[in-house]
Amino acid sequence: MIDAALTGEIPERVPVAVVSSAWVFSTYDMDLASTYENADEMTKAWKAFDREFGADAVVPSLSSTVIPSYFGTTWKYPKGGFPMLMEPAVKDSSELDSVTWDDITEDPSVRAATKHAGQLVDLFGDERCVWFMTTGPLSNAARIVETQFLMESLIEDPDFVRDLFRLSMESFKAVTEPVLDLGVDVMDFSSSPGSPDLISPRMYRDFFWKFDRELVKWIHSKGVKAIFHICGDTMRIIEPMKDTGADGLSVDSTLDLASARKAIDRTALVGNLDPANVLMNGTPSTVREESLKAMKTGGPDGAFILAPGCDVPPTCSRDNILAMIEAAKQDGLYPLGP
Amino acid sequence: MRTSETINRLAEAIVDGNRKSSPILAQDLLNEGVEAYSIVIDACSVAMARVGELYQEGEYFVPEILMSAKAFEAAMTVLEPHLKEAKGKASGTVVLGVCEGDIHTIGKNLVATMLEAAGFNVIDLGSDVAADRFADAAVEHGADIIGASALMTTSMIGMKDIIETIKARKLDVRIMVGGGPVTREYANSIGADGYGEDAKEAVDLALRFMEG
Repeated sequence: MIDAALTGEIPERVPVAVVSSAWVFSTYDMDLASTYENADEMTKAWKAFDREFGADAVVPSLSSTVIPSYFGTTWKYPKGGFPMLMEPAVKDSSELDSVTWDDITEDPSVRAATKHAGQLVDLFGDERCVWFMTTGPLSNAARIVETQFLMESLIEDPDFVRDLFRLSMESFKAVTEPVLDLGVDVMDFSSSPGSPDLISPRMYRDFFWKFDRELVKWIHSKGVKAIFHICGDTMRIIEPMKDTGADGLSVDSTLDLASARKAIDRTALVGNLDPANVLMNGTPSTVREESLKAMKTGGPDGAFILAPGCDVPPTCSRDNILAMIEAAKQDGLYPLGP
Repeated sequence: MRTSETINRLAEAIVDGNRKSSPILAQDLLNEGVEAYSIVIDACSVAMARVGELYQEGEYFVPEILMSAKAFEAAMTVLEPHLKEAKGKASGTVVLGVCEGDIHTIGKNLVATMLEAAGFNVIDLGSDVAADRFADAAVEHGADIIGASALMTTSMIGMKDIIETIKARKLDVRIMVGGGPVTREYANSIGADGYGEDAKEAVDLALRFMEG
């Protein structure tokens, strides 16, 4: 079903995916600081998730911390929260020249992510979409340096930013190539510093877009479908996002789905339930209501996957996640009702 | 005439994010005998207000605002030693910080800069700040306002703790909140006194609080 949606077709019903390993690991009482180094534990969590929830995808992932940590970024892990960057690996442009990444594929978390993806391909490859999710190279760049420094450098030192993006892109490809070769169906990467909540659409088109397009082309060259995510209201860049050639655009809850649907033709939309106000603070009934609304505006004629608009807070209830999945299974049959 | 031109040039330098020329122009104005407080009000505040407008008009985004904030701060390093001599400049005291479990400081830093430009005394607690630290700092500095920011859904829950702590300790302080996932509805639901969608709205709100 997910494959049909990503090729712009109308599947039997709206497919649904929970694209958040942080929520899954927290739900099965796993410690985010150490789980990402343990392939068997990660696989155990997704097996338990699949048994309990039965969504249409299993989502092996490479944590947002792994590549920046390899370069030297340090983190703090608050209980029930996402990792917080404490010290960036690169603090000024002169430090970039001394950065190397020859043995990045030997990193224990990289190896664990690759093994975990392989285990899910073996276990679920015939019945579920294996959806590999990770923070993309531009998001990693904002964790190798600090986001504020990246934003300032975009104006004061664009050459440094290009060099940083190139380093981040090449290291990202080295890390993820073995995963793509395993036979995953989808690769989903975030490119969040390109959000119109941070930078101008012009800056996205002139500076960021070519990196996103390069990555989509590379993923396609491996025979894998590409989805990419940018946080915030991406309406002002939705057309260039589509022009990267991505099969699916993962969009945040602040985006007007109906307008996006009109703007991007048959490219699939993935989203866009509000992770905080609906999934975390809502009830199963409001989740169901919002799911119906999203399916009818985002995918009246297919090319749509129901999913959270961004990463799901670890404190979100099981009942609310189940309500989203049931909404797709029970009310998402094509043709959708009025 | 020359002074007025220099005031305009300083404001332009800040709007343009030129952190090399802004301190030079601020020093020129001091050399011309203009009071530091007047320079802040007539050039720096005007410039940062314009930056806020450009953001709201969709002309400026975070990189541009950050560079204007840098240019403003560079001018302030020249002006601040002279401001300490001035009396009654501050409109009020604001204790500002990012909620516990969150280290996203860009928005909070912009609010701090623009509050300072508007004449507020800002006590910046930085990031990952627990509710008790907000309350302790409000007592220590006699704050009129607490401003709490969060960029993450997991950390914005901390805003409720801050409000409950302030109420439990019966502190006479207004609380304003803002940040990426925070909405006006959420601010109302947790009992915040106000919500700022962006840095300019936060400053306008703080000014309204001070009017009573």
